Formats: sequence, C-alpha cells, structure tokens
Amino acid sequence: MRNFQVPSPVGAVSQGDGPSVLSIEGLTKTYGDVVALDGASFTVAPARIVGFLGPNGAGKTTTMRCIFGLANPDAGSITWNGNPIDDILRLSFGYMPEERGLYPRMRIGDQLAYLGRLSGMAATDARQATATWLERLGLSDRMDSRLEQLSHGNQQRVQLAAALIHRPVLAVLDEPFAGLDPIGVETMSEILRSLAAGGTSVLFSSHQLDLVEDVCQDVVIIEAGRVVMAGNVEELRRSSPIRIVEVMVDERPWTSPMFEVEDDTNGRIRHRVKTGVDLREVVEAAGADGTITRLVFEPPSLSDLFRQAVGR
Amino acid sequence: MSALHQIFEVARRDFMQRARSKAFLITTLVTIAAIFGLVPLIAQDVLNPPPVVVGTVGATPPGFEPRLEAVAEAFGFEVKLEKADSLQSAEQKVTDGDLDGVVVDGRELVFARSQDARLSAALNAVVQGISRDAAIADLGLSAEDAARIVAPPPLDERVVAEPDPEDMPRRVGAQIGAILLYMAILIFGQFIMMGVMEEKQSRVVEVVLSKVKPERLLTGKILGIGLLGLIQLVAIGGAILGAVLMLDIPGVSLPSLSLGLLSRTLFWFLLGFALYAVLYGALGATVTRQEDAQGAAMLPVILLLPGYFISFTAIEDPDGLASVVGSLVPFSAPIVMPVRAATGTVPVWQLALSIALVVLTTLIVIRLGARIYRGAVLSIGRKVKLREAFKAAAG
Repeated sequence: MRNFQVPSPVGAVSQGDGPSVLSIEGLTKTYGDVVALDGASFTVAPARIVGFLGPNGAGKTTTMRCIFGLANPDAGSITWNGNPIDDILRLSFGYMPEERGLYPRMRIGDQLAYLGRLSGMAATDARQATATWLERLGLSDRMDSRLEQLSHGNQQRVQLAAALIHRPVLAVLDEPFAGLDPIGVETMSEILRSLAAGGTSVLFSSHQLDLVEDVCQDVVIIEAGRVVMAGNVEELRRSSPIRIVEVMVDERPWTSPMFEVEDDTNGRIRHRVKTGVDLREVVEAAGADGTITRLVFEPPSLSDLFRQAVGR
Repeated sequence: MSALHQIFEVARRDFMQRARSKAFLITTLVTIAAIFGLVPLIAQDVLNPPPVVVGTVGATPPGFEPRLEAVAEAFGFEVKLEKADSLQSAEQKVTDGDLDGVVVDGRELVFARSQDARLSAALNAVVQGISRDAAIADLGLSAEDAARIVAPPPLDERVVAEPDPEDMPRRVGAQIGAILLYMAILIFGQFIMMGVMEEKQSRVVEVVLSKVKPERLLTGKILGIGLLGLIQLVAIGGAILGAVLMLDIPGVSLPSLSLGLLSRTLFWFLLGFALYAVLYGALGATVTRQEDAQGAAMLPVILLLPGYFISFTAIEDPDGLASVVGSLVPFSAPIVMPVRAATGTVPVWQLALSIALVVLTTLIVIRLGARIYRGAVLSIGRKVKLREAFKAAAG
C-alpha cells in the first residue's frame, strides 16, 4: 500500500552554476489568442533559492502549473535530473499556488497530515511532520482548530506548511511574499533559507523585485513568456556593464553630462553610467560644486537589471 | 499502488469529514427517531380503522342491527348505529362528517357529498335480505327450496400453473430497489456535486490536484460520499423495517427473499449509483456558484426520469419495447433491468450488453469529469462552459 517513497532531499549545497536538478526547455503555452509562455527556458540548481521574477501576466503562474501537470504546455519539456516528471516524482515536489486555499472546515492538524499522506508519507510520519510544522509556526495549540477559525496570517502559515509538510525536494511557491508585512517578509525569507540549507531547491515567484532581492541566490527574470535574464544574482549584478550612481552636493541632487538618468523619485536621482566611468573624475567634478553629502556607486539592483533586460 | 492509496485517502477524508459533522449526525438521528415515532401512529389508523357510524331515522326493519353487523364484518369493517332525533338533525350530522350515512325509515339512504359504495352495498344487502326473507316466509317455501333460490352454489375456481412463492417478493424487491436507487441518486448525487464544488470554492483543489490526478480525486470522493450515503440509507431503511416488525402485525414478517434477488438488486444499485455519482461529480466541476449548481443538477434528473417511469411499465410488460430499450440504455438500465429480470426472463446477451454499457459509460464519464475538473481549476470563480473546460484541459 505505501511502498512508494518520497526521495530524500539532495544533501549537497552547490553553487548556482553547478549542476541543475530542474530543467525547463522551450516551454510554450497559449490560451486562445493569449500567449502565456513563449519558449521559456531556465534551470534550477540543487538546494538554491531561485527567484522567478517578472511583472504580472509574464507567465510565472503558468510555468508553475506546468511543473505540476495542472497545465499542459503546447511545446517544451520539463525534466528533473534529466528525467521527465511523472506522478510519483511530482509527489516529492511541494506547491503553494497563488490562489491560496485549504479546506475551511477541516481541523488544521488533520488537514496537514492528510496532505502529507496524499504525498505518500506513512501515517505516523505525516502526524509527526504536522506536529513539527505547527510547533515551528507557533500553532501547536491550534491543531484541532478549523482553518476558518484562524486569523488570515495564520491561515497563510498553514498554507505554507501544507506545501512543505512532506519535506519536498523542490518547493514551488507562487508569490509567497504577497500581502506580508515586513516582519512576515523576514520570517518567510528565513523559512526559504532554512529550506535551501536542508537541501530543498526553492523556486518562488514575485512581481516585487526589490522586496525579494536579498532572498534570491539565483534569479530567473521572465517577461511576456520569455526568460530575459537568468543566473546568480551577485554575478549578474557584478558583470553588468552599468553602474548606478547617486550624488548629492549640499543635500541637493547633483548630475553630470556623463550620467544618464535612470530613476527620479523622492528628490533623489539615480543615474546609470557605463562601468568605464572613473569614479575619481565624478568625485572631483562634484567636489568642485560644493560639499558631497551623498555618494552612491553600486552595481545595478534587480529592478535595474530587469528594466535593462526588457529595454524600459 | 499509489493510485489505490491516494483514492483511499481521499475517500476516507470525504467520509470522515461528513460523518463527523453535527449536521449529518443530527439529520440521521432525527430521521430515525421520526420513523419510530410515526410508523406506529400511521399503522394505528391503517390497522384499526374507526368504525363506520350509521344514523337511523324512524323505525328500522326487524333484525336490522345484527344483520348489518354480520354483513359489515363480511365486508371487512366495523359498524356502529346511532339513533337520530329527526331527519334534519341527521342530515346536518352527515354534512358535518359525524355520520357516514343515514338510513331513513328503512327505505332511503342519505350520504353527504358522494355515495359510499361499500356502505351502500352493505345496507342494501341487509334491507333487501330482510324483505327477501319475509317474502320467502310468505310463500311458505321449504328451507331447501329457499336456499336454492337465495344461495346458489358459487363457481368452482382452480389455478393451472404452480404458484411461484418468490414472485411477489421479487416484484416488490425490484420495485423498492428502483425507488431507492432513484432517491439515493438524487440525494447523494447532490452531496457529491457539492463536495466537488466545495473544493473549487475554497480553491484547495489546486493544492490537491498538484498531488492527485483528477480521476483519482473524483473516484475517491464518490467512494467516500457514496459509502456514507449507503450507510445512511441502510440505517433509515433498517429503521423503517424495524419499526414495522415491532408492530407485530399478524401475517407480516421479513419476506423470505432469496440471496440471488438481494444481490441482484444491490448489484444494479451500486452500478447505477456509480454512473450517476460520476456524472454529478463531473457537473460539479463545471460550476462554483450555488445558483449555477441548480441548473447543472437538473441534467441527471432528466436522464433518470425516463428509466424511473419505464420501470413501472416493466413490472407488467417486461418484454415490451420500452422495457427492452430502457434496460439497455445506460442511464435507465440500472432501474429498468433489475425490474425486468425480476418479472420476466432476460436473454443473457441483453444482460451482458446492459452491464457492459453501464460500466463503459461510467468510465467515459469519469474521464470526461476528470478533464473538466482539471480545466475548471484554471478558471476559478466563474461558471465554466463545458467546451472551455475541455479545451483548457486538452490544450
């Protein structure tokens, strides 16, 4: 009856350019006239946190649904360690859909244990994992509460536990940071980091690039169904041909003909320059106009990279 | 193996969640309590009908009362005489329903709105008998001659075929099976539909379908809710049977139903229930809102009704065209075929064809339902047109 096993998570923590476990190749999907995916390709390395980023409607949710067989791609392939994903393999993945929802009138302890058993866990394992997760989320005393009796925030936590109850080798989380307050964002980030530390590969989507910049080790940036940029975040930033410059002289924004305006908000002007620009020249020119009160010179942020990649 | 395991888990959840709900327990217990309370009350009136009250105005012929009692007993009812003061007051009482009829001067019968044929026949027999006996006495006939005129010997009666002691239980069993199936499909089919809708409404379906294939989810739900429905049906049916047996009515006992009859009824019951449960499940996947559900729930009823009506025809005419066609069309076969099998002889090929068609249709509907289910996930929150759901699932 229970002779199929959930594979244990891959133990080794490897770099982003190491071997990949999940590989998506040329994924294409249209709904009527709407092109949701247009040949998207990317990989996920073992035990890495991969931010799957892009604006709303870029194809993030459709890609995730394809991984779980909830949508059938028109073309392209999805493989795990080189093998096509079948029903048994899929049970070792965990999914938190964008449309949150569990059984409202079911006790949360029963609910988590049920989802664990559906994923192939033995009854005792599922019970234990449920207790562990509820403890971790600070909900041990609510084990017999029905989902609908919990606050919205606690329901969100149970939803996350539902995706991770069976210790998946791949966690696919659709917009896990949506609707969280800053403390919630920090807690979620910690959970993702500990998942990866435990060997789970994490693929999560977000349309708020700035919010998740610190969490992602690798990013896949998708736009209109195509992957426009992918790789190790730090490497992408470092190897970018531009730098962001922000200079204030006597507390006023300062600019120069060598700069190109990137962003102008809240009275601060961020400029884009080529990496070849000599910082000393900038400092000299600005210093001649007064006292430099702010000087930022840094690689581009994810948002900058994204804007650059899609040519906006 | 994992398929069976998952189906079992889904079935267990759906069974336990409903079985544990207070609403289910209370409805079942109240129904059973009501049966034990109501059956004796209803039986009281049926078993011991109140006596028929006949008013008399003026003189009655000699020997009227004992003769009336004897005739009434032969007719199977009890009679009570009540002398009225006047014709007017007697007519008023008949109108009010206090009297069932009035005999005026031994010559006229008065009823309220319509004639009570049974009472009329009894009173006529009594009054005519009295005057006939008086006429016989006037003619001075011997008792033998009188008997030859008044009571000629009745016709001889005999049967040529061996009576089949199972004939009646078979017909009754098949008919009860048909009615139970009809009710079970309507009630528990809707439960299944609601169960499917619930998962869409709460959006848990996307989580579940990321782990379980829609065919398995649908099959598990039907098994879980269907089993609970069967248990409730058996509990209520058992309560009715128990309440009737407790009355200890002479001549009423558990009919000696053969195992074959019971198993045949059960076999068709399960087959029919599976087909319609799957259909309700598939329809449930197309709707999310309660208003749309009512429309969708009509389709199985429309498919089921012809079979229900044909099953009554099949009792009298098991080999008629309607019965044969009805027992082969998958949507009516589970109701019509057991009735035909009980009251006539069904060729083996028809039986085999009928079973094969029902099973095949069930499997097709499961597949279609699963496709609709998968497609419906992608369009949460609104009614899905069947064609859209197919396209979404196929594309």
